[in-house]
Amino acid sequence: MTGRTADTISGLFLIAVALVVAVAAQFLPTTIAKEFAGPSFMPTLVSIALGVCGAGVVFQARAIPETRRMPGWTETDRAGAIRIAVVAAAVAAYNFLLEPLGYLIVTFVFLLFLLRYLKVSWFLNFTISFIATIGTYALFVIWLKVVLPMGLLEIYF
Amino acid sequence: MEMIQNIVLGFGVALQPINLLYCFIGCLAGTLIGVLPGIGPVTGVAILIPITFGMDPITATIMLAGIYYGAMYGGSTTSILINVPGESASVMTAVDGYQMARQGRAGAALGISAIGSFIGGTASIIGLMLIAPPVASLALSFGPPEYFVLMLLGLATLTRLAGKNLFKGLGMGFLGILIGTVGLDPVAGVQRFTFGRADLLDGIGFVSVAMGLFALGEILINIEGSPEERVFSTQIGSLLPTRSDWLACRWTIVRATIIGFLIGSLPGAGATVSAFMAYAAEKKASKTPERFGQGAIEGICAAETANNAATGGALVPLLTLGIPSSATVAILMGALMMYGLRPGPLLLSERPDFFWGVVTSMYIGNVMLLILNLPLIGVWIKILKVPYPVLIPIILLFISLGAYTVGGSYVDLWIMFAFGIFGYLMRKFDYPAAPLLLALVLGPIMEKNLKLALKMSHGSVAIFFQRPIALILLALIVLSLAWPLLVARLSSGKGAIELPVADE
Repeated sequence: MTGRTADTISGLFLIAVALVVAVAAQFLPTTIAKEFAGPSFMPTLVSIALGVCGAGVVFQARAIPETRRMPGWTETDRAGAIRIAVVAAAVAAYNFLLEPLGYLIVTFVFLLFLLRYLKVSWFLNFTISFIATIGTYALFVIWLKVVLPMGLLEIYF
Repeated sequence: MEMIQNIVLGFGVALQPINLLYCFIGCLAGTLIGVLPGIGPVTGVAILIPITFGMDPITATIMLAGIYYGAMYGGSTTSILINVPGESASVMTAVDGYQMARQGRAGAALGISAIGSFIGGTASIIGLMLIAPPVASLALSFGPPEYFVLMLLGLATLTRLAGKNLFKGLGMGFLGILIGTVGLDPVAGVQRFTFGRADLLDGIGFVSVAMGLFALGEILINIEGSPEERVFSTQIGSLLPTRSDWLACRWTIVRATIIGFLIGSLPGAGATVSAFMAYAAEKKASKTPERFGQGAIEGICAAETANNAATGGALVPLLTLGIPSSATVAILMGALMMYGLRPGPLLLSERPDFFWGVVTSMYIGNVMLLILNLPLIGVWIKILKVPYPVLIPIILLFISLGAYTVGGSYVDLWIMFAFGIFGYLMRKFDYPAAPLLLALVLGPIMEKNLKLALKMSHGSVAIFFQRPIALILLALIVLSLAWPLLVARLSSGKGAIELPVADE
């Protein structure tokens, strides 16, 4: 992707966010009691400023030579994109399954999967997954008294 | 006399065994965070906040502060040995440090950076102790207009320094303020953008946002390239600098300490800019500027002394005005508020045990760091050899755990995830993350002060131009926007260096 295209897209994104917030802010009260600036004041003011910044980014993008590529985009390859998708999906799955399956099961499987995916040997993988799961449980639940979901293992705790 | 009493009070608190233990844990964790590439002080402090739950606020802050300045010490190790700065404030250290390592003088580079860090860090604490009380007294005369303009100054400085494109930096600042408007209106108490969800009434948690933007975003960027192992293969050599090294660095340490402390105490500047400025000033002052970039020990000494001196400086606006000067300090401020403390001018008078206890613990921490960094260099090198693929899942686990335990709900996990994706895209599209986080922390306080100021003036913005302090601060905002031009002028000419992105 070229620098010009990237800045144009991101500038338009800022403008879109500004527009959505500006419209949403109009549904908030403008004044409360004797306030001179009600709940809608700040979101409206800042959305205008954000829109101006977005326009500034788009405007400045026009000065970028068309051939100049965006640093970081040129190195993007299919394997890299897959790695990002897999890691992001693993984090999303962890978020989804933490409560129904419980901390111990989900954490162990999460670590096992990611370490294997990143080509860590099975022995090291099992050792790290086991120690990290039990270690963080001991740190947070036993020592710091943080309540973590136990899910399927609830009856044992 | 009063100062001596305060120092005695501070040491009485800092030398309690529990505080000594957590000071050591903080320094150790900070050094480790600084050593490991891919985890900066922002991530480190954010990840470890959950560990401080249930602790006494003084003990917790001593540990978090230890992580902050410990990361500055540790950041130099990777910069020198493998040319990968552990955090942005060590970027300038890598310029000459790695060259020295290639010449077989890694030991001297590590030695001078540890000693410079110790002197800079310790001197900045003395500066903090001397400057904080009068600044806090002055700040007591500040009203809502002054506070609003002061916070605007902090944001303006950081957004201007955090990237090459003014609109991108400012845009991220405004986006942070907008995200900060989610939840209850700070004055009227009306719900805004909560979509009827009770867990959004308190707003979007800054810890989840910080972990997403800085930790998950960074991991996604790193994993996009091949998660290769960077193997250290240089001879360390003697850790003690030679007599000629000492002679070359004696005034460098003095200059860099002053520059680091002063720049670090400016709202919005931080350690990265301090290191850059000290390096640029040293190059200007040198009779042989051509050696810079080729392994000049003064370059390493200037950058490391300044970034550590900046940590003490950065605590001046936080502890006296309630204004964070960088993303890491913003996290620290958020943590203080979570502990029920109010960073600002009243902190010094209301909780002298807290203020002086934390400040004096930094003396002890600096001594601990000197001990940790020199004799344990072999341990840090071994840690550097831990493959990145092993670290990634463990960091991800801590991020998720941190987001869940701080917020105590699923919403925080998803906020972390969403901001992780957003943080990745920000890096791809070359947007700075620090202004967003700083604005998120400052936004609600800014809004409250703006509304109170407008109430005082019956809706007239003239109030910001009629009060002398507010007017001076407005002038400083204009100056801060012109700041990069001054920086460019300072480093102009042959071999000009580019300001690194202040994402700390």
